[in-house]
Amino acid sequence: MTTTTKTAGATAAIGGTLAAGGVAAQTMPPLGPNSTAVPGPGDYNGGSVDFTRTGVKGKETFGNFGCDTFDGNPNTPDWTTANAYFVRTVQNVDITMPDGKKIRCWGFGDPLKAPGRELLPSPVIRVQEGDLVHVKLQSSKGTHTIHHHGIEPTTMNDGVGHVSFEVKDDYVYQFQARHAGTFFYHCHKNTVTHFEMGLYGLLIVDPKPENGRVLAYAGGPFYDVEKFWVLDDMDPRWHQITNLDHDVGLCGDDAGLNIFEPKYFLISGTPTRPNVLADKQKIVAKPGQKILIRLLNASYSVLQVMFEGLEVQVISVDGHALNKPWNKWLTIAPGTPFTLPTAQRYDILIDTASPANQAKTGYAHKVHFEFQHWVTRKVHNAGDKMYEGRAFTTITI
Amino acid sequence: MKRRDFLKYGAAGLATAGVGLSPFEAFAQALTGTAEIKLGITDVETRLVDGDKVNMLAFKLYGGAGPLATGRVPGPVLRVREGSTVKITLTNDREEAHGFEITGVPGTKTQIAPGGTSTITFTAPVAGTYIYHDSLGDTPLYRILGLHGVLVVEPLNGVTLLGSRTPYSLDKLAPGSRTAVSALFDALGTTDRFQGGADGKWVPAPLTAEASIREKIWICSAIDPKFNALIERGKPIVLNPALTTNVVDNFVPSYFTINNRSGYDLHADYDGMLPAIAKNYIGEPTLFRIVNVGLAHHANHFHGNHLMELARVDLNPTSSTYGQMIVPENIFEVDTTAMWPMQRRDLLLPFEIPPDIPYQIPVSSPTGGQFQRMVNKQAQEPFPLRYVMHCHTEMSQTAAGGNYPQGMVCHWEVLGGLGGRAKVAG
Ligand SMILES: [Cu+2]
Ligand SMILES: [Cu+2]
Repeated sequence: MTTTTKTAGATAAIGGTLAAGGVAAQTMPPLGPNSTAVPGPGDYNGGSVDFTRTGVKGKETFGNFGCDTFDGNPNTPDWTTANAYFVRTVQNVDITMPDGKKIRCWGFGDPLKAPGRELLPSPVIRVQEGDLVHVKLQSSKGTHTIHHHGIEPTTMNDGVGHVSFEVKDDYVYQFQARHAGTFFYHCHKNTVTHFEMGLYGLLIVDPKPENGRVLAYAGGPFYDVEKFWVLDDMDPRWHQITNLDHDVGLCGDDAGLNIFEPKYFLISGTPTRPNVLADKQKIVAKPGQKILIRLLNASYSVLQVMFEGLEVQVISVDGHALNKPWNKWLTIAPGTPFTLPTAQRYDILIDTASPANQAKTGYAHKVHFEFQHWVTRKVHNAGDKMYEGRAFTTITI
Repeated sequence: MKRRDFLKYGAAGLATAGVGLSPFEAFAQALTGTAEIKLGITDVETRLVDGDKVNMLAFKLYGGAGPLATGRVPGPVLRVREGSTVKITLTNDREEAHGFEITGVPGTKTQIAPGGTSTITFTAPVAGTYIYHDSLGDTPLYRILGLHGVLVVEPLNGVTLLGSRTPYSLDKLAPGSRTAVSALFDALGTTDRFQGGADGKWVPAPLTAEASIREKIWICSAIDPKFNALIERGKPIVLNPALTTNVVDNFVPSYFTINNRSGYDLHADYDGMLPAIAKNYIGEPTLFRIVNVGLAHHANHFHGNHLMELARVDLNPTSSTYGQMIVPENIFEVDTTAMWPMQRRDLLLPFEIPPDIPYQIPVSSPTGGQFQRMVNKQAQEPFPLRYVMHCHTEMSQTAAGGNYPQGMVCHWEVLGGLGGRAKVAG
């Protein structure tokens, strides 16, 4: 692994809206690097694949179910030329928490386009509906995988070790993006620890532009302001033991991985403190604008969210638009708390010109996040001025 | 973790089809308007995925076969028809009192003295998925120790105007919910996305079966062995008020189960166990009735297909519909669903072609899609496509503090393309 140290404000402008979630007025969101410094992998056959060395044809046993999982660097079966191409490496990231402690995290790096770019969350993979996507994972210091969460490709491209394989050197994941919406990608090796370490980023599928404008999805709403809120919680004990042993607990040790007691709470990589505005994550919009928030619970808590003062609409859940004959947008009244389980995404639209919201200009409306324990549902570290599981930021119109 | 002897199952232990058709003669009467079910409460031993054994408490079914007759966690899946009269006789083999209740069904709460018998009679409620359990003393203790099971109520009027079968009594739904449920079940088999014609419709399980090809029951739970250690077979539970007065606060689960199995023990279905794995062809939509009888908040995530969230229980105590089963008028398509303690959800896995398998190749001038090439045997990657389902609150993916992924993980399989089952059957 190479080590990069996270520095505040290092977010480059590449791609406009990045992992740190800069607010960008846009008519045309940055597509994934459809052509990067490295061309697409070209028109050659991926070559043969020995499926017996993977969970696809290999016999599943108790031993290889978790401990001695299939690993390797096979060719991508049924290789076909891509038009969107990404590379992801695995890197160390040290995050300085509000109590001054540095916590070792891991993030996916993008060696082609984003040196120095923030790695927590990892750089966004942004593609267009219909794109044939190749994501090349370059593992280092042991195996990793990428599961493109909510994307539904073949088993070999799904990134789950015990039914396919873990990536030893490198592998090119292949899929074609069908649904425009908000997805994410994360490592699915010893997931309990590798996801906790920060090996995740957003994956956004944009619809094809209509009249030069990119909507939330085909036939869906246009938005002027886009924000990513990815919520995470961290238990420093977990980071310590995982950094020491990449395979912690895998082969029989009791590493206490059934016990998760987070002390740190982050919004899109920004460490927060209770009752202190997460300034970097606030949204500022002009009256009349539409705001699209892509909300992901990447924590291991029950996440409770509450928008003060503003009426919001859920327009898409888990990357599937609420535009089917059996569903519709969900309106959430101001001040109404709702919860998200781990890994769920809500695409939230705020129409500042709607009847409910148009008189709300000139205020900073608070948005509260509460991280609740997965067994007791009590807020973590209640009452603690430093470690309580609460965060907030604002939306100013 | 002990490298437990996983060959113990041997070839004979592997289930034949995993369909779970059990000899439920006891239920045949359910069809005719009255169901009589005889359950017992007894001690059992469960072997955990790492080979450790714990004592549990179980329901058993008089008239059942195999483990159902001797006691199994979870208890037998009971199926009755909406509006029918249901009589459940409970016999308590143990040396202490037990309780019984079907959450959300009035008139089902009772107590059974040690060695005694108790009978409840009630009218089967509105169609849906229910949890029966021992709630004696309003503690979840006996429930998490194994005294839990699922009651499925089949609809009286579950057929849409266009003739599609659904799990709900459409005449009892609010108009918006009826419209949404009808739109979804009518779409099955009839659209580009959900193909298959008449065969592409959802088919309910028989009243006499625990599960079927197109209907699975998943009962999520968790085990903290220090609570199981209170059980001594043939004796009342050891008194330990420090532990049992507030079960939730003292509960530190270290095994996470579906149908009382986890990890490798869920990779296949075995005879006598409640089956978990759906192995179907494209165009065979499958209903998952998922409940959580444990005490952790789970986030069940399916790979491979999004699922439609059909019904749930309102668990928000401040809501006007608290405790009620909600069939929504807004059916979300999700890859992750919140399974809180005592949540009951019905989700439809459409068995559509996994949407992100390259469907236009080559992308520059498409001539076809990879899935069809797989069906035609022109592709490298073979069937079955296997997709995991796991809880994303990943602590639940461990066993005994580590051993990822020996926890709450299961999978489902795409055996082949549209009409594949008929082709195989010849
Ligand atoms: Cu995931
Ligand atoms: Cu996953």
